[in-house]
Parts: sequence; C-alpha cells; structure tokens
Amino acid sequence: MAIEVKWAGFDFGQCMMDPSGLRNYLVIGDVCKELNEPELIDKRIYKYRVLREKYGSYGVIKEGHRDEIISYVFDNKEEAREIFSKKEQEYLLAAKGLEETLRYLVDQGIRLSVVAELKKTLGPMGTDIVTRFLMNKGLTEYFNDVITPQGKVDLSKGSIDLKYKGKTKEEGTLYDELARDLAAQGIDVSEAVMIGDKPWTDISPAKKRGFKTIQYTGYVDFGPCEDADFRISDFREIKDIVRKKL
Amino acid sequence: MGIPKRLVVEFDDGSRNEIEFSRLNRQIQADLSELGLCSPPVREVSKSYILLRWQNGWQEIVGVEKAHLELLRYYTIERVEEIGRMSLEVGESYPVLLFVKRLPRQVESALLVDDTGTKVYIFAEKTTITEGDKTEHILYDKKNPKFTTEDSGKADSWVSVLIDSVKAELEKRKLTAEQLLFMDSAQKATVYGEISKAVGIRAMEKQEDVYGFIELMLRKVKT
Repeated sequence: MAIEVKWAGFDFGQCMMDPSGLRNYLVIGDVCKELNEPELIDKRIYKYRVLREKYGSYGVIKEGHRDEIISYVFDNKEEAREIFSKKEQEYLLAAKGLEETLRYLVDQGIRLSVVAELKKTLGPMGTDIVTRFLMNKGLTEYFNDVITPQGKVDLSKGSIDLKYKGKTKEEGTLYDELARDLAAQGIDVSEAVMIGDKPWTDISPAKKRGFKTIQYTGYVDFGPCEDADFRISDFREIKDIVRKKL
Repeated sequence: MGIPKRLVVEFDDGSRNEIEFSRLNRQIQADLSELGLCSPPVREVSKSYILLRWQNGWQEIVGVEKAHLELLRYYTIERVEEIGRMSLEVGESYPVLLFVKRLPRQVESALLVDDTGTKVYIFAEKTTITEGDKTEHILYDKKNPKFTTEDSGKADSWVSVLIDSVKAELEKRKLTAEQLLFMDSAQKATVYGEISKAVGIRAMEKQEDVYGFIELMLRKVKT
C-alpha cells in the first residue's frame, strides 16, 4: 500500500544523520592532536564521558550544552570549538540509502524539508549542525528548507523565517505552524508525511495533526508506535511506500 | 618485597649518594613502586570506597575522593573495537609493540626513519584470520611471502618530499636549518609546532615525537 503526498519532512539527528562514525577516540583524539596536546586525549575523553553521564546522551550535550564541551572537556580552549565542529562533521554519516531515496522523492516532485529539534540560535547557513551537515554531504539540493524551533532556513536564499521560533516538535506547536505553512503552499496535512525515529517528537504529535507518519528504526528503534503508519529500517523502503499526489 | 631502607644513586666514578627511604615523599615512593623498585606506599584513607563483588565471589575495591556517593547508573557497552597492532623488530630479544587506535585499517603506509636510513611499507589487507569472535586483518607480515617491502627509492622520495616541505617552511620564515637547530628549546617548540602543522604531521601520542621528528628532518636538510 502506498501513500500519496506532496510534501515530506525528515527528522535530522539519528535519522537522516547517522552518528555511528562519531567515536570519541576519533573526534576528541583528533582535536587534541590538532591542538598539539595528544597527551591529553585520554583525560579529555574521560571528561567527555563524564559530561555524558551528567546529561544522559551526547545528543543532549551537543544540542543544549555545547559550551561545556569547550569549558569542561577542553579546559576553556576556545580554539577547540571550531576544530571540534569540523571533526564532528567529518565523522558524521548520512544514513544508508538516504541520498538515493531523496533523489527518488525529488524526481517524483515531492517537496522536502528537514524538521529538526535544533536548540542553538540559528546563524548564517553552515554555522549550525544541520545546515553544515547538509552542505558537507551535498544534500542541500534536495531540500527546500530546514524547519527548527529557532526558525525556518530557506536553503536557496539562506534567509531565516522566525515564525517557527520557540515552537517545538514535542509540544506539537511546530507542527501547527507547519500545517499553516503548508496550507499557504496549497498542501493539506493529509498530503504531507513526517519521517522520524522518535515517537514523542516525530510521530505522535504529527499524526495528531493529520500528517502521515513513517517511523525510521535504522539507527535507534524506540519500539512500535500506534501513531506510525509505517515502520522502516532502511530509507530505501520509502520508495515502495511514498508516491507523489497529483 | 621487604621494607625499603635507602635510595642509592650510584655514579659512573663509583661515588654514591643515598637518602633514607622514609624521607622520600609519597609521590616519589609511588613513582618508584611503578618502576617495580618497591611496594606502593600505604595511602591515606579515601573519602569513600566502592566494593564490587562478582557472581563468582571475586571482589575488588576502588577508592573515590568524594563523599556522599550515590549510584547514578551502571551499564556496559558492547561494541566491536578495531585496534591496530604494529610490531617492530629492534635487534633485541623482544619486538616493540605499538597500538594504532585511529582508524587502523585505513593506514595505507609507514615510513620508518632514523639517522641512518629509511624504509617504507605499504599496507594492503591480504589475509584474514578468524578465531572465534576475533578477526585479524593482516596488512603486513614479514614472514608471509604475499607481502613485500617497497624498494628504498620509495622511502627516499617520501623523505625528499618531507624535506622539501620543511625547507619551504624554513624559507617562509627566512630561517636556515642551522639557525633553527640552535634556537632555545621553547622557541624551537613553537616553530616545530608551526612547521608540523603546515606539513600536516600530528603526534599519535606525544607532542615531543613531532618535535623530535622535525628536528631529524632539519638535520637531513642541513646535510
């Protein structure tokens, strides 16, 4: 059974972006080596792991406590900030089959957006983790925009629309705004599909507002969600599920 | 091991200096114990201890210098780790063993260099050995005829490229190799750090290895 849509939204972290290449020894190790401080690798990896115990996951650290990576792990070495971001991007992977699937959807004529829970204030394109990832992996051409609680980035112009500011996926307010935005483009929520891994941010809040939903389990499987119309473990499965609504 | 009484330093002229062991501070006693010269000193009581007991009754203790501990989490991580082991013949009874932790299977070549000469080895996976849940990917093995050493020309050209890069960096700084070699240690470390960054060489474990390597290249520039 296929669903027919005009728009598809992709979650970012642990979904289209696969962090499994981000090993501490590589990222922290390379930063220490670039800082001419290879002797501090083990100590800094230890501190980074302590930080993870404090906040629960590396994703939470990176999205909400990034400054502490510099202050606590890298002993306030400001130089480490840019090197860390660069190395982090170097080791991030695009999920398996992602680009092939994006190409298929774009060829079908479906509009694509990234819908991410970015907590850091947006700056020029390439200064936040999402647009930087898209640029580094050559994926900007597939997406029209990046929608976040910090605003919507128009990828063709680099401009930021602040009507999404302060709205979140988990509360659903971001999807309310998205529904209005899509309606203005002549797309009803029933003609839109949200693809993501987390039931509480990507699936249930979107489903409650009438979006179609696909739960991606290729990196983390959070278990079956009754609000998911489909469950996939490889993005290429989307090619059998999604068609352009004429 | 008995109770240590004195630390003796013997000089090449036969003279000796010695000190009562009990006058050494705890850190020195601990350092000597790490060298296997004595037992570790009895340390002061930590603020807290954790005693772990295994299913088979094995017990271990670990001290924590913090009070009022409460367990936050305990978990294990199971993951396949890939570590490179590089063993080197050094003309002694035992080889030297190095561990390569950074993307070990992506190392494509190694240049062995000292004051007397150079050798280059190209790595290519030609054999895989699986034993239980362990897999060894062999990228070079001297005893296996599938692997050959590169001719000395390749090593020489690699070194020449490095020397040329170092020369170019010296020229940018309007310095000669001799001038740099005779700078004081702190100045040298700064310039060596800049040169190594410019030629794209980083230390695997110790920054002093980078400085030593650049100094070796400078000596080759000089000659």
